[in-house]
Amino acid sequence: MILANNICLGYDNKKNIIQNAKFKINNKDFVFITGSSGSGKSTLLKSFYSDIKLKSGTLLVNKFDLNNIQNTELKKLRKSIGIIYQDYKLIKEYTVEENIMLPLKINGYSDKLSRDQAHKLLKHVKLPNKAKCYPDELSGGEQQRVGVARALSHNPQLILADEPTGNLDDYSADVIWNLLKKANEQLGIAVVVVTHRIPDNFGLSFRKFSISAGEVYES
Amino acid sequence: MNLKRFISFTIPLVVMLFTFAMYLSINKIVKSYETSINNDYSIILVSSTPIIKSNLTSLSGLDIKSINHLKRGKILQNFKDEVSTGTYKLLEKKLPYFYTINLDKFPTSSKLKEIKEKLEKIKGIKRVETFSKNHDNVYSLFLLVKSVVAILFLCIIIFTFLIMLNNVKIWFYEHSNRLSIIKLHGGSIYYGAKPIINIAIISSVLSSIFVILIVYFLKENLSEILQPELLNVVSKNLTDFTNLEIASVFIISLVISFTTVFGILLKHRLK
Repeated sequence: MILANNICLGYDNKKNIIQNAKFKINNKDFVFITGSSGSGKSTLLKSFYSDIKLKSGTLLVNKFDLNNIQNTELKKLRKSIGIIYQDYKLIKEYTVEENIMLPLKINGYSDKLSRDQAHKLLKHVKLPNKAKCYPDELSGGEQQRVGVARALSHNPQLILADEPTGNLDDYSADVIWNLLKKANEQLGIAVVVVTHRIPDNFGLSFRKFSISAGEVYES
Repeated sequence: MNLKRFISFTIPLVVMLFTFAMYLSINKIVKSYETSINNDYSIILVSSTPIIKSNLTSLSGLDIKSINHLKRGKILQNFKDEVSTGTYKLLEKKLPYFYTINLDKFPTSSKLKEIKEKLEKIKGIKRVETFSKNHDNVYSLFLLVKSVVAILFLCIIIFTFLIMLNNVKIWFYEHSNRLSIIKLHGGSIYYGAKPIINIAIISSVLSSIFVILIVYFLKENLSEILQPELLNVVSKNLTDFTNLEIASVFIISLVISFTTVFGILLKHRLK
């Protein structure tokens, strides 16, 4: 699923944020990446969908080699992943339903199929009556649940989540963790979550990667 | 669709297409004027021997439309009562042949000089009168009109194109957040830019229809706008707004809209 071999990450010519990281994430793995603020957790996650380029090393994600990945391949890679962002990244001009339909539409599914899927997922994230609302009309927790529904909508092989419950109330956080656990357990989707704090009594076996001083190690 | 963005894209396009339609019409008027002054323009040849068109064409290499012999009898008639019979007979024997030549195209001043030189070299030709001074004045005015129209058209095209470019850039700026989210989900820039591509298509069609309607409206109401002297020349040419010209307005409209949108799309794609 993800195979990193001596990868170095950083911005411009500054010091590397991630130094010679080497790890493997398998299908159906549930992985937490933890570390202090500014340790490079989000940078590492961004490298998985090539939002940041590798400085050196090799990185394979869903069999795509991210070294000098071409535009067409990059699109295919991103279509195969579901991403949850800390700041939700919902399109404010789209309704909730249209936001969830976006990955499906990009993957070429019909309007009807995409809409049906969006409505199913809205029930799962406990927002069945919000289909026609715009993101600005929702609370932060509700917006993040829409973000999770969008990430799950096209049945991706891998979900990447960057601090998905960072600023949320307990109820929304619970809904999101339950959905991610279900996706992993029942659908076999690999989940990689960047977080400050792993929830107590998570109730699912998981792997934990920690980042400290640019080094990634599994604990 | 954002109405404000739609209008700000469409207005420059309408201005540009209207200028193009006017350019086509003025060009036709100028062309028609060119034909008319060419029909009225002729060179006079004085030759000691008779001339026939094919000989003159092969000898001079010119595109001659017609050559007319000026009847000597008419010229001699003027002297008949004023000179003696003997002198008249001598005049009849010695008087050269006079011809007027009409050319296929209205010549440039330099071409006219060249024509004169070529004709003067032909054996038997005594004199060539091109009325070059008068010709030069007409030709300069003619060139001025043509150049002014072309420069004006070019300026308007450039300015309106820049305005449209700016509008599309603003659109991309306003929608940069949406475009980046779509890119993060593996969508192409074209997928994200569907709304602006739709605006471009609708604007092109509506602008073309609007401009063609304006042209037809002007044609129908020319008497209110133009002086009667100009009316005949202008209305005739506007009436002849052909299907090909209508099609060219549509094509130009689409080409300009798509060049603007896809130019910026390409820039974003390369980023």
